[in-house]
Amino acid sequence: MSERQTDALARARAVALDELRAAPAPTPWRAHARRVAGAFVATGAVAAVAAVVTALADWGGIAARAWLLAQLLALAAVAGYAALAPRLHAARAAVLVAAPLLMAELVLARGAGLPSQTPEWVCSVSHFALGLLPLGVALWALRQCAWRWTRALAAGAGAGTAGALLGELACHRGGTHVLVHHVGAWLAIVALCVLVSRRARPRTFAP
Amino acid sequence: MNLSEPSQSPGDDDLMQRFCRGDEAAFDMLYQRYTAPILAYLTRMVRDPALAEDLLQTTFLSFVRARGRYEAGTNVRAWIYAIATNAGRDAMRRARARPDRLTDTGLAPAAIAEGAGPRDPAAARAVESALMRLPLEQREAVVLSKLQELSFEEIATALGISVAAAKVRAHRGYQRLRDLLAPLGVEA
Repeated sequence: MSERQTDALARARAVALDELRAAPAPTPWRAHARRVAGAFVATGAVAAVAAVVTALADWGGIAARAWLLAQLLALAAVAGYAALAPRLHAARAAVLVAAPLLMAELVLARGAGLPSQTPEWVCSVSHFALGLLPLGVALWALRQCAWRWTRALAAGAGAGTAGALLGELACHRGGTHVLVHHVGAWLAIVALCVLVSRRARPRTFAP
Repeated sequence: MNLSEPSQSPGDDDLMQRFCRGDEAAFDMLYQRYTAPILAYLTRMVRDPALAEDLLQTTFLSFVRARGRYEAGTNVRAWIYAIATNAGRDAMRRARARPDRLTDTGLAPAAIAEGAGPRDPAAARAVESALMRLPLEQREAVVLSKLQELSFEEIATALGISVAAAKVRAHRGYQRLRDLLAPLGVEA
């Protein structure tokens, strides 16, 4: 081994030991995963409460859409957890299948809908904006492991559920509107998650 | 450089558990055990000895930072190779965005051939050169299998694929390697 290689090895060891001394107790991956799943679910729940408090939604509307809301919350929780798990490949695959199916279900379940005076873009903007906070949490957490497109897609799909939940409660327009302005915003969040996480330098390269 | 690699010993799991609790001595033993083979692997993957040394540091820094992601029972050697593979892929992807970091000859620097299979230096260089012409996923599988002597189960863990996929990639890589070396009269 050359002197340069010996120096490089000694340097690598010293840097790693400094890191170990600085943080002798590691944070388990489950803590990160719970944080992300919690952020996804909590944002959706806060949006739902806000919709009720501001009279954008009523309890009758919530009851009528309970099945869809439950699916959205379940997707948020599973997507957040699976995106960060070292293994759970099947759970990530399930999220990647379930998310587009749920998007289709939201569109088809809406039917003709009701007319509204509010500009349609308000739905796009509010759906997208509501996804930014959980997206930020997901992007921070995704830096704890090596980039995988399945992780990024699952995290993006989970981050977009909060806006979809608000849309289900506060928007009463038809399926075409849901497809363009809600599913479109949701897909934009997924795309943003993939692009930003791909470009960001991960903190670790662990699986 | 000594490329002989330690076999997976029962001690790895114990060392890893101690290391996960912050034990520096356990980290040191794992570091001593895996640093040379990981450096050899990275050098072969990125074709640039200086970059490989940087990646070695990145790999072990990740190893420390990400130990909360280690799950008991995971093959430690395969897990470290997985980190090194991911770090190498990331470096190569970023280097493609900055072409000045890549050599365009496709020839391995002499340092990479150090310790490679054939004892004849010319044959070693031919093998290394042919390796560089393999698609990345095949090169990873061939290097991990033939040169780093990982089992296919370990390769599957290191590359994040199934055992069957690891075997297919390695088989295709060997086949391509044989095709590339046949005209030169060198055995893969």
